[in-house]
Amino acid sequence: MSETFYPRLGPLGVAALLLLGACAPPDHVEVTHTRTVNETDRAVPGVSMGDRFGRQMGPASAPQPGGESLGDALRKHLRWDVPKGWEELEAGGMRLASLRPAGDADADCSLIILEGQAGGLLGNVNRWRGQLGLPDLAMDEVMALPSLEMLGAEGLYCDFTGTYTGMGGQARENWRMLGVILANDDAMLFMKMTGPADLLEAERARFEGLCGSLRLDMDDAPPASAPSQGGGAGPLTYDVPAGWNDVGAKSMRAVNLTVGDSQCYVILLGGQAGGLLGNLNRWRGEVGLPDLVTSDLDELAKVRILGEDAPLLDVRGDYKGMGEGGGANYRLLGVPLIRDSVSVFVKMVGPEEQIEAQRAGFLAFVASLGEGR
Amino acid sequence: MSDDSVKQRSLGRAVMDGLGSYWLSCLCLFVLFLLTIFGTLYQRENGLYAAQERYFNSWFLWMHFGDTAVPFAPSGVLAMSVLAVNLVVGGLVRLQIGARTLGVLVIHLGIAFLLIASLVKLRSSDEGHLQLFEGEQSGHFTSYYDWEVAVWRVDGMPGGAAEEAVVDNQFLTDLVDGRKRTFTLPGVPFELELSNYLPNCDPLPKGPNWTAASPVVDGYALLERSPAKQAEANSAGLFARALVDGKAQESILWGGPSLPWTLEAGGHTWAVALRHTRFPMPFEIRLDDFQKEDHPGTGLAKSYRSYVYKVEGDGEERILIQMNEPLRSEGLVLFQSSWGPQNARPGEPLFSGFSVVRNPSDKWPEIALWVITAGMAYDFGSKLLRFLIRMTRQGAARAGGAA
Repeated sequence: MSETFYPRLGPLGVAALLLLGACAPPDHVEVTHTRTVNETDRAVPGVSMGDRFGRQMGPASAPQPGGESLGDALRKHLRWDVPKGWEELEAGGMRLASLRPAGDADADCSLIILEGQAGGLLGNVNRWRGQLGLPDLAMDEVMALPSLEMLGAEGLYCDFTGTYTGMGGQARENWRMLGVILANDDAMLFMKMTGPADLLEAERARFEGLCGSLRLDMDDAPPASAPSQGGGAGPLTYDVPAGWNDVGAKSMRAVNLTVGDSQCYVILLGGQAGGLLGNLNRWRGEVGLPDLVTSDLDELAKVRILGEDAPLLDVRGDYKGMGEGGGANYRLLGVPLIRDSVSVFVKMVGPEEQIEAQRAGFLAFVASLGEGR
Repeated sequence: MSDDSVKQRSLGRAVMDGLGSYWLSCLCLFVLFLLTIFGTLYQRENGLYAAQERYFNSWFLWMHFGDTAVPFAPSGVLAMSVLAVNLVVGGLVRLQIGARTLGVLVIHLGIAFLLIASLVKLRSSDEGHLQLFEGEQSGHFTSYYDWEVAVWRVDGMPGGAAEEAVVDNQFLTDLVDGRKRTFTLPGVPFELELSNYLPNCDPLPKGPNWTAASPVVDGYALLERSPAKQAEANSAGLFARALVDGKAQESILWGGPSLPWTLEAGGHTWAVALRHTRFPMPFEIRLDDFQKEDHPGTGLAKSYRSYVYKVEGDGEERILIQMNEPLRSEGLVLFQSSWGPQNARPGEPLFSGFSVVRNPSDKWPEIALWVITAGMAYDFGSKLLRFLIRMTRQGAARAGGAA
């Protein structure tokens, strides 16, 4: 950010300004007066930064319906795809999952969910670095680490190499660790893989694919691998608009419909998953539009979805989505329903003229959505 | 008379002739014409506030060379100031003052007074808004654009009252590019250091995919946003350090909806908040009754009005504020300007919004227009009178010749 100070001067000062160039107030200012007000702003001593700004890190922190904690909800509903050539072992102790490239005893991949801050982001990154004999990082260095999308949020992606001692084990040189941490005030999710550096280099893409396959399945049954018959075999019920095809749940998509070259799908994510404004701006960014600000939200049309009002985003532009292809003159319809428990994202994208023709069908589909099992 | 005094008189005369010339008038009007065109185009992309500030509320248009701004063309204030001088000099000096030109002189002075009124308003007025639900009372109004940092002792006074030390907007907006400023505040047991001013930003958990525009504090940093077209939608941000007993405590301040930063110092809890500048009023306003009438069958407001109590000391006065009927009192003008929330359901409480202006030259434009009207009436009247007299005389002369 670069902003220049524009002095406010009277007519005489204009001449001086021309001669002396820009000037500015001093670097130390003594305020000499106070004012007494009958009512000032509410201050809450000791409140966290997230609470001050009304934001949380990662998925939402609110307790789930029925008193279920976020950690419990994640443990219960989290699903993943075992990478090709890997095997899933019996998870014990704190582990929710234990995997490795098939037959390779040196490699180890684990998924762990802990309640609360669990040592915090900084503490856990430095704990991992300590296991590899690496020095601690400062908070700003940790925040500069790359990210990997997981469960719709940005996880902190660690890639460290050193001499591994693990949890009290023997020292192993040239060992590598890939780890993703998703942090929240109420829970932390750790996906971590260790092994010889060259092996992890070869398995890195599969590890990242494993992270990307994590999803919440609110239906306790295993995720469907075959196209559903539509109408609500999963956590949602819905009516398939005439002429549309229900191609079945896939990856993160709880509902997956197509019509012509357009696609419409529903994604369920734990917590607020980036919040309302963040998700609307993510969709706008996919068609090259600038961000909205909070005050713009009131101007968006509202639609009813699952018994609540949610904004309807209707934008056009050259589409560049997340692995869905794209093209010029696309139109995107999006309805985000942000909830503390599970947020619902309904999105339809396709060539502009097709979306125009199917807009009514999209709205009818949104209106037909209902809570399933 | 010496040659020097002759030269001085001729130089002075030349300057006065130049300042009062028609050419200068035309040049000023042409510059204002260009500013209006370019300002309108600029407004389309950058919003009304930015266009006003750049093209009309400044002395110069500025060109940027790196971080240095250099004036390259006159802006609205300079053009209108020169025009005002031109009108006065042209009227007083160049014009041959007499009964025939008295009206033109008055018109010149009236227009110059109008321009001076706009300059006084620009330099000395405070503008803001006040929103009240029925039963609410306030003793201040809030700026649309300017910011302040307020520091007060939490629970220092009973009933939510507080004694606030305030850092003004002028000390905040230049805190960019690594510039810091330290403030000593009366009664506050720490020094406050502010930096990293951002006109529009969001405080977010720092992720690796975006560059923080401030230091990271407890995992949070400020993400810079492009200035909003509607400047009142901006939410500014700052990085703050409090030097307490030689130790620094740090935090992020944000002008959006947020709670103040609190810290312990001198055995008390202190609050620090970045917020839109608040202007105290010499009286308090309590909204008694807000009335809105809709067009039949719609949610569109046909008219709306507010009955307020103006509270001053122990006395209070019930006053109606509605469109074209503002409350003018003690240098303040409160206009009925809005209501909300716009998406309120039937029966839900509404707030009434007032635009508030403190303008020492509030009545000056009206006075200037009366002066201009008087000058035009005199000038046109005297011309008409002279025309009628001449026609009467010519008629009489023709009648006499015919006889």
